[in-house]
Amino acid sequence: MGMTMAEKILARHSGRKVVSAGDYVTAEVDQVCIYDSIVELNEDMEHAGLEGGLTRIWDKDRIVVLIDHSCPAMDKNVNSAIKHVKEREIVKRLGLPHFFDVKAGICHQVMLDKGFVAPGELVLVADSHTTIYGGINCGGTGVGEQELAWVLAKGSLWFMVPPAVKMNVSGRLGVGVMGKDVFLKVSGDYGVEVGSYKSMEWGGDAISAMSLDGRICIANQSVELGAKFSLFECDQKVLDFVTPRARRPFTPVAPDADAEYESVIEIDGGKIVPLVAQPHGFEVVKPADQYENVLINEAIVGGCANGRLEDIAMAAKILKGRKVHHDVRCIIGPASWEIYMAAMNAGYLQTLIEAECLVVHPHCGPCTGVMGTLAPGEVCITSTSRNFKGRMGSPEAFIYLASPATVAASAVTGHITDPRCFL
Amino acid sequence: METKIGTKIYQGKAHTFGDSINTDVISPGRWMREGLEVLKLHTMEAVRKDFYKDVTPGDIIVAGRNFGCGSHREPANSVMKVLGISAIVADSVARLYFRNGIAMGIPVFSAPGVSKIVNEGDEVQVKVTEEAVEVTNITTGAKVFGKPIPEVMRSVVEAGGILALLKAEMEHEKQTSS
Repeated sequence: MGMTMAEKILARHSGRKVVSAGDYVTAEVDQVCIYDSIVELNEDMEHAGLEGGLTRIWDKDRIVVLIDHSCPAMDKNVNSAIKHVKEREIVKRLGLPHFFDVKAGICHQVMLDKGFVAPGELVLVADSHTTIYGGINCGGTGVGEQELAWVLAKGSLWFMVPPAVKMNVSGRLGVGVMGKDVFLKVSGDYGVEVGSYKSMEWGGDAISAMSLDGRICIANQSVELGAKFSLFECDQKVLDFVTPRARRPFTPVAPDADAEYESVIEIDGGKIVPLVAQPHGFEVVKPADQYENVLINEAIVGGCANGRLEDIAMAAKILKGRKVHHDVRCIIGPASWEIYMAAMNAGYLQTLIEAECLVVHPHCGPCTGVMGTLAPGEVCITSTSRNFKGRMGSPEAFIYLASPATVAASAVTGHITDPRCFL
Repeated sequence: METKIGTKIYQGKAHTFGDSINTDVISPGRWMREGLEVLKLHTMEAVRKDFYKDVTPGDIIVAGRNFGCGSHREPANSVMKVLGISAIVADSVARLYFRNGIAMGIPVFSAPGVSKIVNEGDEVQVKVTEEAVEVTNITTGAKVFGKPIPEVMRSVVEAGGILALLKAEMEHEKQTSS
């Protein structure tokens, strides 16, 4: 019996030739990352009676630490600032070599940019969106801080080998249709548990033709479908990105022809149109043109879901020579400084600033309500990761989720808009 | 008083919630950095204002599908302990919330159908054995069953959480090396 990509990654990392869905394995981890919650991790270890808190790290070269969620510290009551001081003390005490402080960007994009993740690897981050690395054929999944404490001591963690769902996207995506729309198509048609505890394994012509940024967006958002992993195959696009960056030799995984899938979902990529998820979740999804009567106050392109170069380029394309509607504030948040610089060098940032967008520094704030906070009754359309009630401020605000193209088009018109009229 | 997982029992008054109660609802971001004592005042407020006022220690949350979906944030688990919730049982539990709950020693179980047999205020018993998670509505007598906790997780539960297990292992290593 052949193996899926997830099975191959877990077999390889647990020293076995073969594993199959439902097996429990202890797998060695290639890389971990944590942000300011390393402070809670340290304190929780102390409270649990582990003397000195976090003291043991299996391999200091394998941990990335940074500050991205409140970055730089933004709260007036100084909690974040104090936490960041504690974080820096922990990093110094342990002598951790890969600390980026507030200077690099959102954790996942930093991991990608700086070559800490590679095809065929197993990577854990104390963050739900860790499924993102599947976009480059890397087994990434989120863990809590306390489980990460275990990993830091041992270099390994137990996993259930997940059953897999084959996601076959055929055809070719149309103009103005992005990776985000593929995710929204799946969440709308198949629900938010289609990937629960599973490995979603993507393929098909539309995926092969899709940009790496588009695949990375889908992998990122797959956690909203419940996924443990969301894996794409390694092709030349992945190698072109990874090879100059990777810090270690790597071996990609590909599914066997006779790999066993729990189910196969067929999607006609050519039939996907720009989509929008309405508040307060991902289940109710309709074509963007069906929401044209929804007036917006805020529009956001950014976050680890959609703050990559393709996303900013798309926003710039739509906003070039136009202005953000006078009733709208439009926030553009590149996911990392590497992307910020690339967008600057390509002229996108100038275009966006001329259009009266607020181009902000790379951090998680636009996605989490740390900035651009919504008042009761306000309406936002965002390409960040989540539209949950209360996520961006008031629980009485309304958050619609869409692609960067749809967000940018809506920023121009002041209401939710199918972007194809601008493309 | 607490016995091995084989016979672990939680009993209390039920508070019922619907499907897809996400961690932004359980642990709103804008209150998360203020500490658990402040956070608990805002837990669930997006769907039920002042929920904390209704909770008496030992109460049980009964929810629909996909409980705890969204962010990995541990305060969404630990706030339950501060509130006095003894256990959470849902039709299904999102992966990270489940793993965090077990790792942190804050019991969370899935038992498909539980949301259909429990109403707000019912007395509920959750019995966790090696064979199953058995949920009984004491008020009505109705029962549903969930799959048992995987064996590898049971060792974490028995230790009282993954940090307790890590402490025990590190002490064991120290003893064997000296």
